[in-house]
Amino acid sequence: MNEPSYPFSRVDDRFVFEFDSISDTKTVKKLVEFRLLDAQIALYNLALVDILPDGAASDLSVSNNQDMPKVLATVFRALLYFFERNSQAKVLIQGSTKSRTRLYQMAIVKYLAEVEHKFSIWGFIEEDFETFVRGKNYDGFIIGQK
Amino acid sequence: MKNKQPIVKDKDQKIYKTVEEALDAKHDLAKKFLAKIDTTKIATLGQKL
Repeated sequence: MNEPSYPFSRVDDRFVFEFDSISDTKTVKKLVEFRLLDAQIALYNLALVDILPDGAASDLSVSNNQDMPKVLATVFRALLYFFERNSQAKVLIQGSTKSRTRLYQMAIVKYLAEVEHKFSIWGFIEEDFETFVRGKNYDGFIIGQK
Repeated sequence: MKNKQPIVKDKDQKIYKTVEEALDAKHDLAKKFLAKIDTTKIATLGQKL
């Protein structure tokens, strides 16, 4: 993957990672967590939040740091790290809002060519999952290793 | 709560007192999403992996 990304570190024994989104004007700390939702099907959820300077947190990563491609590339690298240690897991990706989900969808399209040999990606549409298709709008996604 | 201003204004943005609360909210949203889905279908996807 050629897209620049930020270095990230694993915070604790859980699959929680943090990194700094850096621009000329500010640095925003971001946290990515993969949390187990359903042990029977090894389904994890991916969550991305901003940590604010006072320790509070925002559920939307809209820090306007003009680096969203780099942020998404970092999240993608964290996803790869996660799958290296959880090869049987599946990860649910869903935005807090429709626009957030669209953003994730754009990132999936961007990286699809380089990951589709290794990962299966499904999109959720009309209460069902189907193999991810470019150009279709989905309500959420599941990614698993082939 | 003090100083809980969003970094930028976004009508959908929510600010939580702690990181854990924000993460919990995100994962709760995913659980609600999953509640609409027949998870056996996800298990089937798993079998295709």
